[in-house]
Amino acid sequence: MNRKICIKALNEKARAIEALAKNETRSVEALEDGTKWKMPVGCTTIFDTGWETNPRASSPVGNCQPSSHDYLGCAGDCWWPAQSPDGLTNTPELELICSSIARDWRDLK
Amino acid sequence: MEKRIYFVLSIMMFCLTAIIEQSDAKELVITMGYGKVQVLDVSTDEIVADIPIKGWAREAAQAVDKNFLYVTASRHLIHKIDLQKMTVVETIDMNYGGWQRFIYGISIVEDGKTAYVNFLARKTDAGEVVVDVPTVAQIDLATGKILRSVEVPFGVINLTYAPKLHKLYASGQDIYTIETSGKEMKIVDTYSVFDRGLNILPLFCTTEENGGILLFPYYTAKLPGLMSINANTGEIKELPLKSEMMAYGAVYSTDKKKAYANMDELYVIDLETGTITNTEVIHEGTAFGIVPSTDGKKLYIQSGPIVDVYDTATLRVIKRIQLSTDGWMLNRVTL
Amino acid sequence: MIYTWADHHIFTVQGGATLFGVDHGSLFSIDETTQELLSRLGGKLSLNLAEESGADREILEGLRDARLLVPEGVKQKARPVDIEIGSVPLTTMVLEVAQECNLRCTYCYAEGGTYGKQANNMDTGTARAAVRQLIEGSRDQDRVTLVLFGGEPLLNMAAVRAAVDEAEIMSQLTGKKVFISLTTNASLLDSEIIDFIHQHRIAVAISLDGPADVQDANRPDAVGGGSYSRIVGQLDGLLKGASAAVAARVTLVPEQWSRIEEVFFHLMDLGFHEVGIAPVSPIRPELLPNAEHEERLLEGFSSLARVFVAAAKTGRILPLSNLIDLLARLHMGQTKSVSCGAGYGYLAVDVEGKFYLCHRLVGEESFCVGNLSGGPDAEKIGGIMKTITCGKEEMCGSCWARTLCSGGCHYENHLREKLLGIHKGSSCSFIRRWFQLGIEVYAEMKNAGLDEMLKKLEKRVKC
Repeated sequence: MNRKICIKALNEKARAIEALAKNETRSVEALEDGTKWKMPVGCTTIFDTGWETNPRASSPVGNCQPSSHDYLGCAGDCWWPAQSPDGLTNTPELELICSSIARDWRDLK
Repeated sequence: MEKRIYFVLSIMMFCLTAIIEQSDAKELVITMGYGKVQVLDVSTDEIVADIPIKGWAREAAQAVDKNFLYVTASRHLIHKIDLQKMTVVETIDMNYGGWQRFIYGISIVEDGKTAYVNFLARKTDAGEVVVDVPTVAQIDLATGKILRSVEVPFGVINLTYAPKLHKLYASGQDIYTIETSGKEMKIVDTYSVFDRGLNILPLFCTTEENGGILLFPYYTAKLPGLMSINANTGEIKELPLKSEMMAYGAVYSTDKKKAYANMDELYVIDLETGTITNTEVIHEGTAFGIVPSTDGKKLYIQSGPIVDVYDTATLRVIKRIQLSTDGWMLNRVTL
Repeated sequence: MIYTWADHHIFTVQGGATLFGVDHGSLFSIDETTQELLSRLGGKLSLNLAEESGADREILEGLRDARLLVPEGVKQKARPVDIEIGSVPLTTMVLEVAQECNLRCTYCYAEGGTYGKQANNMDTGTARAAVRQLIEGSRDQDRVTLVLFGGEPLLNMAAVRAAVDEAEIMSQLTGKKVFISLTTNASLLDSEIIDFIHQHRIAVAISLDGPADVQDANRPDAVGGGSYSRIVGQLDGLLKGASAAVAARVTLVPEQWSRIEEVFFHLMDLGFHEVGIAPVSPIRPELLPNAEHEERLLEGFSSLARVFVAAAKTGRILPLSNLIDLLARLHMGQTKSVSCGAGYGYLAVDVEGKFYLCHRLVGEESFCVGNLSGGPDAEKIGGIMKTITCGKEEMCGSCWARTLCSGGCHYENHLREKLLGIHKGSSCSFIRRWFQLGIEVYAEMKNAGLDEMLKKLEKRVKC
């Protein structure tokens, strides 16, 4: 990031914060609310379906992974109010468009 | 030159015999995919067949003669798959007579011709929605015709059949025992689950693959446990666990001293003490399907489009199998 | 994404501006365009970066990376932290080895050293037991501090020696480092005691208020005689061959606040390794300063700070511990969630073996928190903490200095609010200006490229 320097760290804490920011990539914005439950703050269409919150300390870190795995499960059966196509009524042939979400998600309309 | 040909031919013959011999006791793991069922050979952990199907696969039940597998798809289709030819040979659609039906649970009856299925049904009548009562029915596997049926409470998602006892266990909010020996099917017992503060979701569980016992986690406001329905004895049992666990499914180890459960972690549970003795993070993420090999040495766990093969002795992943479809659950058949 | 401002404060000084991020204690220097943007957009409750112009967005992204803009919903109201009392290991214990004194200082908060009780001395058994409790309570900490205090501790050398001996035994047994310090009026020092201090590497803080006229006015002996000459006479011996720091600890009454420069240089010239200057605690209404007094004190500190910076530029650190400590904290960006360690890792023990929240609150029965035989009473400490921090949320929630100060001295607040009946927060404005002075000095030193010198200060605040 070649940004004009308008702000410069003075003390060690500021330096540490700047170093932290340097390693951050911002192609995707954070979706956690900062509480210990890490509830999603917003939803993308696919990788955060908004209900799977996983408060556990271990895998998965964040919500993308589990939601992508749960996505087609939810789509077919409409178990949860996930942001996914409804395979029972409106998208009965979902499998023709998307049979693996990580691969085919771009084809969802 | 001629000799050479004979040599090649005899080698080919030998290979063919070897394949036939091997197929005599073939053990396969079937993945319930989207538009496709994929078959893994337990002896090699390779994908040995891709079987295109219509719809998204949900449940599977092996035919009495072992040569066929019935797979439900999109909650209304029942595909009959020839396990030798690895193709769909017949499909029945439960959407007929104006009704749309949604199947959750299938068990093949010992006559080999019929099956028990549980379904919800809806139709529109003069522009109005009509929703039928939740039903467990015995159907003709050739035609899908409903032979007899019984109304069940809302929420049943699993059927476990005990052929020797002529009883069907329908699990939902509670577990309902349905007597099948008489002319009419009827609920003869209700095993209370919900009113005791327990919650169950036996969606990703198998009975045949688990030594004839359906095993699944239950949850309470405090700690979870394991519940089981023994299709040989009809016994329903509960084992409270001593620590937290978040799991979709569970299976026994071969010696039935341990159980494995899965969601985002793989848990090893000591069945004598109810303690979780080991927890391994499943690196592929949330996993639904879990099934052990018959000898108990391997454990197959599916997360998204990946099946991880675990060595049960070390709990290390010994093979990572990439599928071409995401999956719902895993079943195991022996030919 | 929608952002909102994190609490921050801008200090404009000659040649630039310094931005202080309150939550993290971070300090940034900012240019004029950033200053302009902050004055234009700093008041907006929420900002959508995507909607801002390219030039502004660039600056805003820099501020976001500096954690001065935070995603909406993440920002939380500053709340007093709820630290579980028993969870913090004990790291400092103050022993009131003698609750009597040979001096009669005019401003003494301990009422002639007795803390309002019968003059009394700690027996050696109690001193040893206290040291053992310190070691035991320190759990996994490998460094602890033992402060020998009074009254005048040298009136009870038996207990001083016992405590030091026990500390050395325990240190040998556990491998923990016990740092010992002694606070004394130094009037009873003799060569034997000086030898003892040197031999056992005891750091000494001498209560000495400056030149003879100030010292003798503030700190007379029991018959009204001056103490200056007696103390200064022993100083050479103590400083020569010192194996640990010898510091002067100055207390000045409001009328003397205009003289702090003179006081500081006098003590520095006497050879003290460090000089710390404290405005007196208002134990009586007449010791309470007015605005004029406070102004004088800040002016005094301010001109001392200028001298400090000038000396720093020549490679010398003036031994003004007030400023050195503040600069060290600002350099590291250290923030506090409690104002001091009292009750957490810090406890005082009186002559009878009773625990008090801190050395200044000894004798105040409502601040007694257990005793040596039963150990510190976590429940009581918790109760006291709740009472004394009550209302802090409203008081400090919007103050930019809250993470540096965190509520101020419990004893000072107690005096002002309970004894003098003054409203809460009467010393806040002074405290803020002191921190501001520190931030300005820090920025100046940093801009002058004195990084090496500031780095040397790190060890003062590093644990």
